[in-house]
Amino acid sequence: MIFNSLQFFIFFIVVSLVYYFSPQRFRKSVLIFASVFFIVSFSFVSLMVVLLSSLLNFYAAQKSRHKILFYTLVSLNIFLILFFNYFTSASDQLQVLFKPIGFELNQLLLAIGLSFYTIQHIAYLIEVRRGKFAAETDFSIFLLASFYFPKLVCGPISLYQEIRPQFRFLKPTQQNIESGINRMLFGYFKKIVLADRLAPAVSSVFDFNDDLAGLTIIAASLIFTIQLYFDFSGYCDIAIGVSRIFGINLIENFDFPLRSTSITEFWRRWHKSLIHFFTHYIYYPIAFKLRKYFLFSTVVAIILTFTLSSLWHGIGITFLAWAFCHMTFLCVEFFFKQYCNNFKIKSNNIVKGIQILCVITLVTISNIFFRAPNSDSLSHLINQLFLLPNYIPNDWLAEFIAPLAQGGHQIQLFNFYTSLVLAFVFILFERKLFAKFNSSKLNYFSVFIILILIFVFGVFGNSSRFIYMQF
Amino acid sequence: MKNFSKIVLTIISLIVALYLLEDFFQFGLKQNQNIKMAYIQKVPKDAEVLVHGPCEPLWMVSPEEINKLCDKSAYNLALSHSDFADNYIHFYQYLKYNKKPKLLLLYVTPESFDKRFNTFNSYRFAAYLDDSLIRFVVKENDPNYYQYINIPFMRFAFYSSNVLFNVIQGYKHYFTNRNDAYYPDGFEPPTKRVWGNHAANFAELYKTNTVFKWDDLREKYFRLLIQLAQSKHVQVILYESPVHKASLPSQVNRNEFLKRIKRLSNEYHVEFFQFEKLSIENEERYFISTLNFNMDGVKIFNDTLAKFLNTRFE
Repeated sequence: MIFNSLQFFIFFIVVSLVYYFSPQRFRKSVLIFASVFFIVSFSFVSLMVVLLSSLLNFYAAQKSRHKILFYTLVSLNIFLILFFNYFTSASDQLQVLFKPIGFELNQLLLAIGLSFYTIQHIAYLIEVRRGKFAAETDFSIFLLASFYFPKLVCGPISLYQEIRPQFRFLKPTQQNIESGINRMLFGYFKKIVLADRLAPAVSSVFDFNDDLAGLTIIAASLIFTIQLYFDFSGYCDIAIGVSRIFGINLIENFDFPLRSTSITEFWRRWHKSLIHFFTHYIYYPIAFKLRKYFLFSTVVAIILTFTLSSLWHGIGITFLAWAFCHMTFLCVEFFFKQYCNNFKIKSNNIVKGIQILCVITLVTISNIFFRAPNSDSLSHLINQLFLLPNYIPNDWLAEFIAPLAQGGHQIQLFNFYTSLVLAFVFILFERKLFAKFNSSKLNYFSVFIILILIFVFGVFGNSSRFIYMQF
Repeated sequence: MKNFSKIVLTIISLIVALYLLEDFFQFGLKQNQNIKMAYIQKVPKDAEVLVHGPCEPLWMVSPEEINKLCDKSAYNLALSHSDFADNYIHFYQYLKYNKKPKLLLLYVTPESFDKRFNTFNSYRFAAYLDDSLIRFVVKENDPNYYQYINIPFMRFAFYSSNVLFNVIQGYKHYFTNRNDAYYPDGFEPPTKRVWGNHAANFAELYKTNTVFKWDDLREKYFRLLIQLAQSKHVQVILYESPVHKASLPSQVNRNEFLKRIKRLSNEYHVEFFQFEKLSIENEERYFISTLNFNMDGVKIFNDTLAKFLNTRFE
């Protein structure tokens, strides 16, 4: 039951109605039941995994003063992420092994949202051990904080201390509801109209091992970067919107990352909740521990943070290569800032524009590794990229436009160009649109227009799961 | 109270707008001369020979050649990426608005009965869902789409990437009084294709030891198609165009499927003709994929096909 399905839409309306007509003291239970139902719609195994994991962390946190127990449990959580990531990456090969005995391995491996709530559990254990707050004594609140359905599948990763107090007072105001609807529509527009419309161009280059010009691969990766942003931030907008309707505020996960003027800034604006976890629980502690060796400590902290980030995304050479790109970018940027203090350019719009372009180009290059479906496809793509004679297409229609536009027939060209125009216009006016659709006042005309646009330009039939659902 | 009336007004406006859009899209699609469902309704072809099937006949059988070499009027009703259910509705629509053909030349190959190859394209029928038969076929073949079609405008919105362009083109045809399709006889020469990742698609579909899987729904609509033709006393000939020979050794049960097709054709007393043992099937330079010729291959194949048809007309 993904957010962009009719089933979710019906589920959400029913849950909202039950929620509003329930006395306040029962609303927590409504959310728990709704979350259970939501998880089971993916798989029963997912429910079992989240229940076991929550139970373990709940009881262990109460004994977190016990050093060995604490480290064992943190390791266990990390192991859980690695275990499921490894088996998800290897599921195709393993499926072959299990097939003869009729064992549906994919069903077992589908532990939805595991990477997201496990991160939350680790942060919770650390904070309890640090004495920032006492361990939770009410399991129902702890469980709800773990598997609260709007944020379960792709985040934003909410820290326990941020979300817990909100479950005590579940009384949404009219403003909450209006801003929630606004934000949901904004998210649906990003996912259904923008991200899913761009998806075919990306898939047509990355999912087939065709021989392509290098520039075509770069263009597809640029489109993927934009698609990923709309897809993931669209999910978060919907999650934030749904939560607001229940009177719960989730943290923002994006802050216009495609307008970043440096890679450091990009990581401050992209997937903020995950980056917050990595900076607070990995980067800062390492940098602090090794602070005597200032440069060394920063480099080591960057390398470790991104290695762990790649493992969080999945086990494979593609994610490691993606992380390596960002490690390099950040280290180079860091050294540049350290040693080229005298080299300062007056900032104006042109310089800013060039900086933004540079950041987008670097992120685009790294995303070739991120999007490559597997190591074989990656080596094929890399080969194509470095076959210099073929870097620039000879025939632009046949070698550049047509592969991106799924064949280059009129209808495909129309769809391709429409998607690009819609995405471009959206990015251009993104700040204004965000302000409008993040407001706590419902503008009925805007709602009408955005719904019509979703109906006319949206992708429903070939709509896909959210990209970050795989992590 | 003020808010409540605003909400009600927005919902009513939205529903009205969606119904208006539905009519707007329906009209546009029905004006589009490049959509065969609309074209055969607006410009009756009344052909003596009707060629039908998926992309293989679409790109490989020229009605002009049949007309020239057999002296019979012909129309190519085939559609790319279509299965038998898709073909069935098109044939049904054709019979509704055209004189019945003398001969239905239907392309059949083992791939036709395996649902990994081609599909039912519901978006082609979005403007025709008022017809109960079409509605039923759509329901059976694409239940996911069908559950949405009663929501205003969703019958068009669901596959909007496939529909929107056709609507705009339809209005262009309407305002320019266009009365002919871009391909008036329905045949799309393979040279017009710009690019396609067919090579990769086919590499995926034809792995070593390809095993075809028989699909019962495909068989059902294959039967319905023949029954519809026979109920209108239209002669049916099933044919399979040459297959690139190099691809055959990896296809484990191709012969088994061909035997099954033969049995089906015998059941309906219909001829199933395979264009085998032609020299071009050995030469890769005539093919763009395992089952499709390029323009050079098409020329040779059309001559052979016309000769074959002449023997049947005699």
